[in-house]
Amino acid sequence: MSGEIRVTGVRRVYEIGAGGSLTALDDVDLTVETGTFVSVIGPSGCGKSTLLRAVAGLETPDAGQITVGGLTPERAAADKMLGLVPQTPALLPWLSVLKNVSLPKKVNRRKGRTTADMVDLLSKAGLGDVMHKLPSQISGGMQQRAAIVRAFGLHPDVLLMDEPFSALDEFTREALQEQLLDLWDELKATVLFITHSVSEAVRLSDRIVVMAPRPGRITDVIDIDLPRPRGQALLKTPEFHAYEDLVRDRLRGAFHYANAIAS
Amino acid sequence: MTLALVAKPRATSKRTFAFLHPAKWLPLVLMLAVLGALWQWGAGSMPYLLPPLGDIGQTLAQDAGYYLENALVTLREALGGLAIGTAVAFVLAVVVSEFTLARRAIMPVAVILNVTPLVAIAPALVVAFGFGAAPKLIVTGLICFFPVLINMSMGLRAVPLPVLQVYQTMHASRLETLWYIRVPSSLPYLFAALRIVFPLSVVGAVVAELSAAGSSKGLGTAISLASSMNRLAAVYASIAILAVLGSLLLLVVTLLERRLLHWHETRAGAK
Repeated sequence: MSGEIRVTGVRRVYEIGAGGSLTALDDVDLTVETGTFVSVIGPSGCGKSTLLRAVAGLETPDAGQITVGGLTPERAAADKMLGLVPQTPALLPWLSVLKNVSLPKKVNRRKGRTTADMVDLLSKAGLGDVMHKLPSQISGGMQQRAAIVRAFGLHPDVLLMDEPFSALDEFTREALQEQLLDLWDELKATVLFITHSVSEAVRLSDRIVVMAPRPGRITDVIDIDLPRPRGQALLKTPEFHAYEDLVRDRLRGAFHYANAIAS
Repeated sequence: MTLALVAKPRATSKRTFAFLHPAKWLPLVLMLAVLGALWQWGAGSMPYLLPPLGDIGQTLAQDAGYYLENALVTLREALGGLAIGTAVAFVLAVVVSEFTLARRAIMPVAVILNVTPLVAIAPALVVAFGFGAAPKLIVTGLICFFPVLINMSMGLRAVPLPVLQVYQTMHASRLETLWYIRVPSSLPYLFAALRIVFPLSVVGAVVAELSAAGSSKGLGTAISLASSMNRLAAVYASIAILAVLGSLLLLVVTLLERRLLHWHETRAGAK
């Protein structure tokens, strides 16, 4: 199994009317090794979501190359190697939670992958009692958990998560981080995780990529050497705080740089 | 199955019998009483404008068989035209929502068809197709076609982008996306259109019957016959049946909607 993400020299420019243009990604290089958890953090407009969409094959770079497990993103999608968790749960409102997370099995069937037992997976995610309910009948945190289960259900080699917890409250968010780590521990996938929360990035990641805007680019890569599993207790340790401070410093650098360019 | 829906939630007896509460039915009953009194007063002072309600009732009772037979003819035309118009619109909506070029070709023609008064087309169709069922089905079909086409083509494209992206990264085919995602999520839009075209189908059938002066059956024909003989009570007897038919069709569509769209958010807070 290989789920290595390799991004080389990727550039993406948006035309923004009146002859203007916005460089969302400028010569971005990034390698995410198989089975690692990498977060991308940065101020808004730094191109982190564009990067994720490009890896998902939802957007084509203007220059450079992206491979997922040695394949183009489109081929990787065709082989059902990718799982996407967007910012909103994006569940289908007319299907029960169980049917929602089972639908990926029915599409693109030619590519028969070994799929998880969805009932079992839902129970592990704490959704066993609500799996026959409609999305509108469960809380936002539960909906987002269902979206994660849906993505994990196909045992994807690569999981792409675009600020999946940003709409949730602090407590729900921490609980979901823990469950995400549990699921990831069991099902092992390469994860590219977009976030704007420093503590979330430190807790989840093997490595944090810091990006800066105008033009969108990578300014720092920080390895997080904290032991796993990373339970609630870890959040209070000095090592954890030291990493938080480090990331915050580097982020501040990215902010200042952006402002200096803008003024 | 996508369209096989989950059992209806919280259908409590409290909700089922809510309509028995006077606050639910009393306002309507009072309103009907006021309107009935006004009608009777009008009929008393201007007998050439309005027939007394009693006369209408008597006409209906005397010729019950005649009115039932004609009502069934009109209803059959209405439902037939409704089925044809809705089915064609549904298929075309899928085509125009999937293929941009088809949309550019078809939608302007549909709009032109819609702004052309159907009352004006009906006589031409009678000339072309005679006094049988064909022109009635065509007129009714045309009148039902446009609202369904517009709403469905909107509904099929109203899927939130994140949903489409999730399934795009699994390489769901266009057909799969259409069947599992676009069609079910367009159902609320379809029902919004059906609420309009179910009652409208009766209008289509009657307009076609009125245009075909020689046709022998249907409530539209009954109306033109009765009015040519100055039988005002008979005219209103047919009109009353048409009003009931339209209301029944609206009731059917409402019940269907309640059954199929219980998941939809505008239904969640429905009283």
